[in-house]
Amino acid sequence: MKIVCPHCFQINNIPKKESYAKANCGKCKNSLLQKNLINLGEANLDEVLVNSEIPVIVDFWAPWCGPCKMMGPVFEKVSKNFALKALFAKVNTENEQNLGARFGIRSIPTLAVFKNGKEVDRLSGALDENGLKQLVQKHL
Amino acid sequence: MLDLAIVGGGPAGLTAGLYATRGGLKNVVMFEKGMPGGQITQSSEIENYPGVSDVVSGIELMEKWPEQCQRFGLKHEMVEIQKISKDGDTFLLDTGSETVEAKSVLVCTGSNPRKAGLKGEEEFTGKGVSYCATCDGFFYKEKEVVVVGGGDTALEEALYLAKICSKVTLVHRRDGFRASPATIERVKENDKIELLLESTVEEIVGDKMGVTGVKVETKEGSVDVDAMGIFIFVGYDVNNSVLKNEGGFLCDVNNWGEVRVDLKMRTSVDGLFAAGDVREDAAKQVVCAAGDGATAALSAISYVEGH
Repeated sequence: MKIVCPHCFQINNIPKKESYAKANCGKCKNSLLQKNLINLGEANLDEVLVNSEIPVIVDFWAPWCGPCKMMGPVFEKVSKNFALKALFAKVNTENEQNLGARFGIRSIPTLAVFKNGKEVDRLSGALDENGLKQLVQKHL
Repeated sequence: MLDLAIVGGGPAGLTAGLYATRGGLKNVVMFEKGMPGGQITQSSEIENYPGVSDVVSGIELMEKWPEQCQRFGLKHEMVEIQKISKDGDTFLLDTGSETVEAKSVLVCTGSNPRKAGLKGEEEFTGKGVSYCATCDGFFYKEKEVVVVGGGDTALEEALYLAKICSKVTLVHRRDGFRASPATIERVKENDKIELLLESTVEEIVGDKMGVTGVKVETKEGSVDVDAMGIFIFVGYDVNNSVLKNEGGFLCDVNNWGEVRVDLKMRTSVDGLFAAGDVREDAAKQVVCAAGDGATAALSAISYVEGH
């Protein structure tokens, strides 16, 4: 399956397995078992959405938003449970106003789930750990 | 076993954690599902927290609290407690995946913005219906919005939105406001804010993209107001679900579900304390919640030391 490297955005083709002990990007050699959340903007969002065969969970947020900040560490924690199962990404709607408009974001935090480039689910409002896990699980 | 479990990480919980650990309790954990700070982080402007003389946002006000409050050993667990019960002298806190034991518990779960129950409210939540002007005002730059409510929060947030939006229509069911006179004056003087008093929202209307307007029932009949956003501030519901056990609440609550406490923040159950917006007669101010937290922590210390 096709996996977008969270570090250099190179597309990697890796065998589908139940779990992964180790998987490194063919180009930058960093681990594909995502350690950091990726930040998406107009420049790279489409490429990542189209080329990822695992669901992409996008957190639309902004620095002035209390509930977004509250959910930030939860999003990061949960992302570590879904290595190579789902890709977790953030869009800062203050910097990426065109993306906010394109996706019709009117309230943050908004979580959107994309599969093969298409939006398949969306939820507004802060989620706790269990709520977020359930949302992701639904689309695996 | 924990000496004290603090359920909730707003101003009350953080202050209680500071006082409890600095006051000598060793095993103190604050359970807060995400980053601490509480509901105040949704407020746009705070100018009544003594010692902070600049007008700051809720996020700015709370930014430094966790570091200071955790300096004496308070631990933060990113977990949402589902249920609190008591077995003998021991409190049991259900996290959904395990049970945590504690000698004493402080409930400071605060409150949440109340839904107005309007037609279309549920359908358009996140698509134009909002309960947080600080979060979402940005998406309505130079657009027309509606604010529903007539209390301090509604008026303050209407003023905040008037700085961003081209027009704010404030819909309130009475002819007077329940807010501080200074705020009412500022609202009346603001020419971007139009008041529709003794009026109610009949329906929120919209299309696939979201809200396009509201139908308002006024004294003179029904009017359509164009708006891309509708901000609802009609009060708060206390978050008391952690106290629900089979057969009712763990401790006494009043008719609105607010937890009954005495002046030491003790509930009707020994070793169980409540502080901040979740308790009855709460002033719902940051400074009061913090004070409650300190009081409750001191009471918890003397309870734990006496057992």
